[in-house]
Amino acid sequence: MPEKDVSAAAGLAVDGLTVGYRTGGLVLSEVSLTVPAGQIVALVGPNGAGKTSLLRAVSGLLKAHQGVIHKGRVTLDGDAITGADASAVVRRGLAQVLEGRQVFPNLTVRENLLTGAHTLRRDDSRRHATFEEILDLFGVLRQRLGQRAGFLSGGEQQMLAIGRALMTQPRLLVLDEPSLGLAPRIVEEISRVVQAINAKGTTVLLVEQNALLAFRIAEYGYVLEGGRVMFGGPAAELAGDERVAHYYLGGQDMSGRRARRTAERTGR
Amino acid sequence: MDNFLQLTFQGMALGCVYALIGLGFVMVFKSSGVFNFAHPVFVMISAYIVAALVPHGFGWGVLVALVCMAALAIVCEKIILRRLAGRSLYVVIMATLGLSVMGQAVVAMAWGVNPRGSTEGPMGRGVLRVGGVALPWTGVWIITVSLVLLAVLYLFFQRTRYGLALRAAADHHEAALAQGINMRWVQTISWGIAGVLAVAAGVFLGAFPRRVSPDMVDTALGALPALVIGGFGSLAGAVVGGMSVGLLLVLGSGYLAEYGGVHVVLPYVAMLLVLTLRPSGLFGHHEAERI
Ligand SMILES: Nc1ncnc2c1ncn2[C@@H]1O[C@H](COP(=O)(O)OP(=O)(O)OP(=O)(O)O)[C@@H](O)[C@H]1O
Ligand SMILES: [Mg+2]
Repeated sequence: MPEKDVSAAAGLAVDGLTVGYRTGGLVLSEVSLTVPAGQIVALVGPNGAGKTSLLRAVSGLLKAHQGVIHKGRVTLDGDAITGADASAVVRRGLAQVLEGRQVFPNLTVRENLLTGAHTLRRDDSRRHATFEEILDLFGVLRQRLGQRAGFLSGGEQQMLAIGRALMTQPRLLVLDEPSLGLAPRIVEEISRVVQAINAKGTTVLLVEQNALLAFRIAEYGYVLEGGRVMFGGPAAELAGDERVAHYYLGGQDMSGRRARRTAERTGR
Repeated sequence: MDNFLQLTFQGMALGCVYALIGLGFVMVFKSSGVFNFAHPVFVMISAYIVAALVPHGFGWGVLVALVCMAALAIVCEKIILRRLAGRSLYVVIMATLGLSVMGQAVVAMAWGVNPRGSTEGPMGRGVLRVGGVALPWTGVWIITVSLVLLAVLYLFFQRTRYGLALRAAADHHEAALAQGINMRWVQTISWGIAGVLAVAAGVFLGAFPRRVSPDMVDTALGALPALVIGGFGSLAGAVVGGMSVGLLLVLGSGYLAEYGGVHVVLPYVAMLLVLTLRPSGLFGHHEAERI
């Protein structure tokens, strides 16, 4: 049984997390961050910083990649979930949208969404309501319910991936680079959707290379590099911070260039 | 014409058996990524158990075989393969080959190496006459029960929560994990279903050529070209491939009798043809492209 830590605040707390893969060395060292309930928190960092590994460690997917948590603690609303199975973590109210969407290509859109109901109780009366809410949020999916997900466009697949995660009725939604490879117009729509989801009471941890996008909609942000949290602060301040500007807006970093390009094209 | 109908009927019956065996392979492969070389041995052991218990009642035999196979499949999965999770494919394949050899040795110790009885039980040896065509009752049973099993399996996959979970897990393992699907259950259920399919195949194979013998392992391995023809990893493909192989074998043996045992190569010829013309098999889907 997980221990109850009454002193911890609601939301996600990652404390001193050190993570490695069996096939390689450490990829995260002593990472600590908090995602207070009700907020949007952004985590940005360049390729290979360890963002995805951190999410895997939190959501229980690390084992599937032969990864190990060496040290540290993860709590969700005060309950320790360090090293818990993915299905246990989902049942506790944390849903993850995987990097690169990863829809079930041969299942229909409807079936993709219904996989999210797997952990819900059969008699859960909110199931149907949640399904309808998701279709209201993503109108395009409603017209494509019977279509195989593999044939959707990238943007539609991203919406499906988010919708499918929402079907688990999470209190905390974790998104891994939802803007990756999408056109600016779609990126805009996705950031609006993330804000709408948050406005309805779901806490959000948003991982992005697109720092501008992330800091624009987040309340608080962290910068991860080389497996360490370099700094963190209110998102509004980070957006103007010259260290962030250096790494993600002006530096030689690919992701920085991409972030700026995206920003220019969306007119921000 | 009557001869053709009769052969077609027999071919369909044999095809059903190959479909059931093929589905057993596919169930396990899709859920755990393991090609279970021990599956034909599961088929043979089921046949031996039923044949041994037929004198006490066919129903008992089937029941005991079902319990034993479900238990055996689940134990194999839990004790052996789960410990090998993450090891190289060779290790896992070697483990299932090892299981296969062990299973054959155990059967040889318990029942010897000569053919033993048959599993036909109430299916009997009579024939059903429809016009000028004589349809053996065993064939009628095989086709009917197989169709019922296929329908149940189809409904399971399409209509139930775990059916959807199994399909999702086969489609994208990590995404299924991220959706909270319990992979242990998915694998246990898949292996259990494979065990049940092995019993059905064992009973039918032991009634069709009317004997239970160690050669059943080789006969069951005949489902492999069926899998390639249908498209490996596709459930519909396993059924269509199984049917094709059954029909080829029986029609071939009927019409090409003067050329000796040439019909046994027909499934392999078909397999090579399919591999050249449509490498992913008739039903194997090219994965839809993700952007
Ligand atoms: N399954 C794995 N096995 C071994 N090493 C891995 C594995 N996955 C990631 N790594 C390594 O861990 C480090 C961090 O990778 P990670 O994917 O977490 O970074 P990221 O910040 O998500 O990068 P990106 O922006 O490219 O998605 C990298 O050096 C990577 O090579
Ligand atoms: Mg990543």
